Amino acid sequence: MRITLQDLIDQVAEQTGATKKLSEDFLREFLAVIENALEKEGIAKIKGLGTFKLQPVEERKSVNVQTGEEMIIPSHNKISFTSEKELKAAINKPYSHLETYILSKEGPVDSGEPEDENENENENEEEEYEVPVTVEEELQPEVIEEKELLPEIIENEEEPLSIVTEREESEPEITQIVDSQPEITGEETKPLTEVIEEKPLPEVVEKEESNHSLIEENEQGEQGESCKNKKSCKWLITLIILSLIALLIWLWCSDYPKLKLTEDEGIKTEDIQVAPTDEIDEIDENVDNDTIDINQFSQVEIIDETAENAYVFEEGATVDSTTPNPNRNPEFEGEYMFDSQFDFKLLDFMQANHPYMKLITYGTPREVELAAGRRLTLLALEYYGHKHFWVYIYLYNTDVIKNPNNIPVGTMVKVPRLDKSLVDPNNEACVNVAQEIQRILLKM
Amino acid sequence: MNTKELITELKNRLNLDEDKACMLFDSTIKTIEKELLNNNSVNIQGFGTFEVRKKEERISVNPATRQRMLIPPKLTLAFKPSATLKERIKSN
Repeated sequence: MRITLQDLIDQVAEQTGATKKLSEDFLREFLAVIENALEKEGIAKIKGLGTFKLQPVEERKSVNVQTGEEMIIPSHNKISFTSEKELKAAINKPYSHLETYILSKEGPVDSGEPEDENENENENEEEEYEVPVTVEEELQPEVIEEKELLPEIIENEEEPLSIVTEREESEPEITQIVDSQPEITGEETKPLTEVIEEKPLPEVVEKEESNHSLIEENEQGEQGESCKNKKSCKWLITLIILSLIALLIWLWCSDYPKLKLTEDEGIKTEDIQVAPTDEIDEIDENVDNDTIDINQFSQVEIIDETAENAYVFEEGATVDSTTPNPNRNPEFEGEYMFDSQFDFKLLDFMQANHPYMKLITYGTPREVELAAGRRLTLLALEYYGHKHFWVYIYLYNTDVIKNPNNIPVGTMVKVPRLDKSLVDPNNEACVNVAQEIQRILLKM
Repeated sequence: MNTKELITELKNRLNLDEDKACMLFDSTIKTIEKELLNNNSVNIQGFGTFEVRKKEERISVNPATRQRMLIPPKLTLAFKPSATLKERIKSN
């Protein structure tokens, strides 16, 4: 659409509250002053727009196309306009994620060949999010499945509480819960991870007065129960003390988020190992709440509950072995979790080239649905500030993204919260590493 | 001439106070920018046309290394002066 001077006058008047007369006078004078300045000084710098400059053109010979007559074009001036950097970037924003692509050296430099490649390239880029029907059909059931599983997980989380109290009623010693729990939860898919989650809950409730009514109920029942039984009282107290110590140690350790410390701690006693996980769960919840407040991106869909549950589900799927392995739990250790298909050569490269690289994720990742036209590079630009960091989003989502150049519309992507030392858009080293990873990925 | 001088000149010509002139100036620039970002061309009669143009992607070759690069498409802002402005400037 063409906007005329009159439209500008109207809009300016509307915005500033000035009369149309003033607005019109202003704009006409504005242009007149620029023209004058160009004529007299040969340059006019307008902040927010750009620079107008006069450029001399030398006299040259030309031929009149109609008559074939030779003529001389006299030297004259022409106007050059250079837009300001910010405006340039703003205007190019729809294409800002694209970058120069180095074509293979071996390719012939013929005029015909490159054009073909050009077209291929074009296709790749344009079709990035077009949906191959079969792939989508394959993918969608998975998503639905996951959603269906969510209620189960919620149930699972609630159930254990009642089970704990039941156990306490019948058996005074809490330690026995650990033994008996697997039998009860045996029918459920992931007994051991649950044991960990269940045990600390009553203790924490007593200490921190959670608002959760369900937990409170359990707590009351439990307290009455434990008071009846002196033995269980003692056990409870010792457990509380132990877990308090564990909490203190964990809090101390959390200042230095190194794997070793938390691991050692986990080995000391089972009770201590239990407490940290619980604490982490809580902290994660806090983090979630905070980030949701902070996060004002309109396109982001964060559903606190579901995101977390989805995560729990994921854990259940991966921590399937007989012993709960805290090292494989990304929330617990902040360790990056790679898909089994992941190329470990790449991991080697990443570690070799960036020894301090911490692939630490904080809390639960943000979940974003890839609508048509969305790209990983755009997500990276939005969340990390630089398009090159898309590789980390991809690496985190290799389970749903088979081919980063062709992602079905509607794919739910998790954008991990990464350490600033890894995704610092102002740090050239970070960008270079991401670029190198990108090169390796594109070769694969 | 820079923006400061422009605003002072406008202030004097129109008998405005500094704030008002600044406000009108900012509003003008913002409006032009907004329209350009909406993919509209801004056509000012007697002055010229601001227009967003798409530069198609192209292959460039580094003559030294013979390395071929695919330059991505981009959007640029172009200004085309009107015939009257061209004429006025020519003889300078």
